[in-house]
Amino acid sequence: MKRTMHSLGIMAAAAMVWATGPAWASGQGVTDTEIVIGNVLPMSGAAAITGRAAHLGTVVAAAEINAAGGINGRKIKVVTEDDGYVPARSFQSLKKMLADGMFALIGTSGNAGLAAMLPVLEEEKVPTIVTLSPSLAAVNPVRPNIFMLGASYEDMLFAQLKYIKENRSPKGKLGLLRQDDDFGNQVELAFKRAEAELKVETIPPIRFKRGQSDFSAEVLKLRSSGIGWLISGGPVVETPAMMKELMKYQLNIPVTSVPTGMLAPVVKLAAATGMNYFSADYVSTLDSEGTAHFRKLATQYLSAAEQADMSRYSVTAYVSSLLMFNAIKTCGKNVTRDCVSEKLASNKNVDTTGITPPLSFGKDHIAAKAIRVIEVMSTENKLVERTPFAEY
Amino acid sequence: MDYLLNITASGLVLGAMYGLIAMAFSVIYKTTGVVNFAQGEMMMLTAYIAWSLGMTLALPFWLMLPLVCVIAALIGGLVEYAIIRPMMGEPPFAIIMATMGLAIVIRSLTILLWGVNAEGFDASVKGGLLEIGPVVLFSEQVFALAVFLLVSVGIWAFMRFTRVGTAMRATALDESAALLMGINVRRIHSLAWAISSIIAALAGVCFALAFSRSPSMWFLGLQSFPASILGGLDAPLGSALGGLLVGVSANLSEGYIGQGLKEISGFVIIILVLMIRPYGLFGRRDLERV
Repeated sequence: MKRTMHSLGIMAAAAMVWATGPAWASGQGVTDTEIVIGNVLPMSGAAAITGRAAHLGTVVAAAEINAAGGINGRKIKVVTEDDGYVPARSFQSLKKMLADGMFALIGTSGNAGLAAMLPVLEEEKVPTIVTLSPSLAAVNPVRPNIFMLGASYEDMLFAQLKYIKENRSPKGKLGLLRQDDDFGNQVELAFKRAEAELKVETIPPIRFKRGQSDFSAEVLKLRSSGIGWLISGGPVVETPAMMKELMKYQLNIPVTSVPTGMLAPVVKLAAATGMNYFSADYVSTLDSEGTAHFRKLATQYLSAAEQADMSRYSVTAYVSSLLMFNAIKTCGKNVTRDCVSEKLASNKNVDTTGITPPLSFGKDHIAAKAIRVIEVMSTENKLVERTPFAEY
Repeated sequence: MDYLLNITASGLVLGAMYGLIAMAFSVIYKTTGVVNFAQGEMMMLTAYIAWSLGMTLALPFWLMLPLVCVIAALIGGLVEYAIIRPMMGEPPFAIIMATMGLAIVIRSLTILLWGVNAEGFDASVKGGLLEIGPVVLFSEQVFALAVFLLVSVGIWAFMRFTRVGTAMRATALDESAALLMGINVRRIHSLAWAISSIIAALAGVCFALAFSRSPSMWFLGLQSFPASILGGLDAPLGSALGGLLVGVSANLSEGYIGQGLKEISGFVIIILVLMIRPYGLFGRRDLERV
């Protein structure tokens, strides 16, 4: 009896080893036939417009590489978890995906969500490309497995200000209306840099709370201070709301915005003001020659409804996917997280099919720092690229 | 001088929207004793319905507006009948929680049906610039002020001169006595919810015309609640005035002081007023607060 129990114990232990063995392997998100790439994105809630678009970018990239036979014989599987733009849910989503087996991460939600996930990503050594919302906190200090695509808001706004100063000769002082949070802090860095480097006259920054719709008092205050050009430090619909007030007082002045200013709903709202404005990006615009290859893939792999949801966030996610796939490919058959992180750091001049100049992650783990200034012709629903890609 | 006048005028417009929603809070509370924490969401839902009627079905504004009022009344009546009435007699906390739950349901439902994008609301009353001396206002802002004035006068006249309005006041004063006098209290409660919903719908339409219809519109309800407390939660006209005070004080404090005072100036006034008159500027002294 004792011997039987002993044998059963050994069999049970063997069964557990058998059962947990493959689970451990898949816990890294790599099997002989598949590599799992994860996204934690806002697929619902107010920021869903960005999250859904980014998800589509990774889907297109995975479909393209799978159609070409995968990476060294392994197919790419994209798994996206919805965090609703809530940091606690970002963390939970990441833990769930890691438990289910995820190899690398591309969709990293907003800055607060990323901050919640960073300790786990670092501990688990998950190769990660911060894509949705560039955050310097992710790469400062540099972590071996964390990389970032895209220039900072500071650089993107400064590029616009430099272009406006050199080409539009604004008459009056530079003003800033900024959200009272971390995003606004980043925007204000551009304002301070313009003050110091472009030697422009400025009006003290005006802060507003998140969710504010009415900017009547703020714009009147700017008008009385002699505003000549304005930095919009609102993340989405605040820019058209500010422009509407500017229009009320016939202040047809240059306005700068962060890349969300180029999203279709924002452009549509701005069109009602009849004003054009500026934005900047580190990827080519969705309707430009630079994204022709991506658009062709999108028509091939996405439904018409999905294509309608695409935006610059689809393009940035596609570019990040290309960088990640390139690193995985150069690791050969022996794909490990350490190897992929190392290759992400060392691979140079990765082709992004014309969306950006060839990309490399520098010592600072940031790629795509070259920016292009774009004028948003709101009434014509057109984005016009005003400068070539350049670093600022 | 034109700076002061323009800042005040813009503050009045914003205050008019706060005031309308504050009035909606107050009409329900005065009659039924319930604080409807889904007021902002009901405003948002009806604004979305108005947008669909005006933009998707392309109904003319003069037809869309009364139709939205009818729909809003039905929604208000339905909420009272299906959610609030079965809970009558339950602790106030339970009813408050039910309205909070309703708020979350409406928020999710709105996103589910209309998506997450903000959209502009074009209408015949929109787009013009009106100059009244040095003051510049959009035509939709003037429309919001006009709606505020009409609703305020209408509510006052309704409560003061109509039999139903008198019955509502009687119910507010003493529900048992009203019942004994033959007033159908249940019907009065339904009516209060319907009227409140119509006022909120008008506020929603004004807001969507002035800015956009977006899933964050419900936040206006949260911003308007203090106005109702300031004016008196059981005083519809007082609440309306509270809205104007909050709107104007917010704009003046931003215009002359800044430093983020726009958001807190209204609350500073509320604290000061409640320290002197705990029942609000126009509220009744025996008001029981929850």
